[in-house]
Amino acid sequence: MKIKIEYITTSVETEISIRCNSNPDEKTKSLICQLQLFINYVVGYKDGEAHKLSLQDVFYIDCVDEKTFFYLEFEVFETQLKLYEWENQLKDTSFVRINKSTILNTDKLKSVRSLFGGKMEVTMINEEKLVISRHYLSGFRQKFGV
Amino acid sequence: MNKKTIKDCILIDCISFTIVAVTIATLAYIPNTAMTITSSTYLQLFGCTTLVSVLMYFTSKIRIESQIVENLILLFDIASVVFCVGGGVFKWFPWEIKYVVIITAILTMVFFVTNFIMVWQNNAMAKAINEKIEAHKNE
Repeated sequence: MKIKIEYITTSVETEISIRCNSNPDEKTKSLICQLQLFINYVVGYKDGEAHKLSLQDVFYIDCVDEKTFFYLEFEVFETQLKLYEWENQLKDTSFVRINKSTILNTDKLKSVRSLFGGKMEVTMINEEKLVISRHYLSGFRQKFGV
Repeated sequence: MNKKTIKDCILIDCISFTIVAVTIATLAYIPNTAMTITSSTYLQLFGCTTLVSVLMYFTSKIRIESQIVENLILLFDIASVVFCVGGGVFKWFPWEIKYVVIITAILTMVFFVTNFIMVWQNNAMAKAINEKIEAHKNE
């Protein structure tokens, strides 16, 4: 895979184009999905108002009392989709399911540590801590190729 | 159960079986503390550790907030297999207070040692992941 970046001195809208086979490999598919994360917006609801959000700003998606929420660094928005629907939509991106009720954005990770009972604890860049359950540990490892 | 989960179950099974086998072999040197060990006993032991590993897989799917309660439930899984299958079906030990206390101490020890080995193994994985996170930040 070759990367070519063209810096232009005049003010132009950034354009990203990917040239690949009609049946791209897994690496390329993952790259395309990750780029779409940057570009695409989702709708989150707060105090009855709809807000346009970038998935890149979402730290994790959590399900509480059968409602699903986007957790950003300092704010929380509700989403209409269910957790499993987000899991399917985000499967080739930096998001990974870490327990029954949480999907984590691995781009917002600061560190991980091992816990008793085969679990792991992650610390996000805003110092928030989440627990990866044993069943979802293998999926989490795969995201890092470990 | 995916391949990785099966691999984890086998790993826990083998670690716990090894610890139990070594403990019982060691106890054989202390008079009146150990059961009579034959080759079929080791096969029965392996069957029981396998059963415990599978039971723990299903039990840990239950969402429990408290770490202490979760560990107690996992200990209960081990105790139920050891006492019901080991003591009840295979008759490894007589049902006397002395043997029940010894068996309870052994299974508790095996539980904690197995978990510490898993923590030790996961520490290596955590280190590798932290290195990748650092490398990604520095890009």
